[in-house]
Amino acid sequence: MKRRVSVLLADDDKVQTLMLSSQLRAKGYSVAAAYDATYAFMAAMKSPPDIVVLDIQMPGGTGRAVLERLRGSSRTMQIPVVVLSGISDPSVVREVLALGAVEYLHKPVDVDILDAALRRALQLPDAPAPSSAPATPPPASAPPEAPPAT
Amino acid sequence: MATPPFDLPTFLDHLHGDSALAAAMAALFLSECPGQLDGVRRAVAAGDAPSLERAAHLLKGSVGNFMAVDATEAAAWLEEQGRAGNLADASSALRALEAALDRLTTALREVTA
Repeated sequence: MKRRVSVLLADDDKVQTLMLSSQLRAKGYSVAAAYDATYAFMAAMKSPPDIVVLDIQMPGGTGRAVLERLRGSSRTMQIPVVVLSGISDPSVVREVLALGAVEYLHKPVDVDILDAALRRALQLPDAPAPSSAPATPPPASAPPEAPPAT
Repeated sequence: MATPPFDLPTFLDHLHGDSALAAAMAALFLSECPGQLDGVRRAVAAGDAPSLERAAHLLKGSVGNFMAVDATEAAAWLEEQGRAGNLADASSALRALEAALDRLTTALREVTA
């Protein structure tokens, strides 16, 4: 049985997290959410996801600190991190990329853009071409659209 | 003519037409918004620039999900004042934010109805 790619969304914007969780699940991902920096790191340590989508400004510490802690732990250092932020300051972008983030996306992000970034980071095949089917989650028994993690 | 409180067609397009998700997001925002606005108010009242930057940034992100231009601009204005540590215009910016949020929440209640 194929395993869904697991994504940890770390963002204190609960509305956006609701939106992206729903949309990523509809694309076949398994999604967990963390609303503050401390919990995000703890969640990644407890159950390492295949990839982390990380906000920069969160309560309980910054996304930068989470990124540094993820990179500093042997349990999480290999997990790719995509930063998703409303901050457009180029120095911040350079800083988090230097800290090891694989991509920097600006909010608000379209789920197809995020999906493509996740696939690049995980070296997964491109998503199938869009169809006219409504955006509804696949049934539990159906294979995920996102290929299984290795 | 006044700017609409948010761009419903673009918002729905962003959700690929998922109106149930739109309603769920609106309901969540309506429950989160008062607390987020309180955070901004407290920071302005206390003259606490770092807290204002954080609180306004969070609110800016929340309203940005709905393509709410006026509310996003008002929150961004407050965030910038907090970042700059200059709150001289914070009270008037807060009033602009409150007015934009009042219009936005009224419109979003219709989405959830």
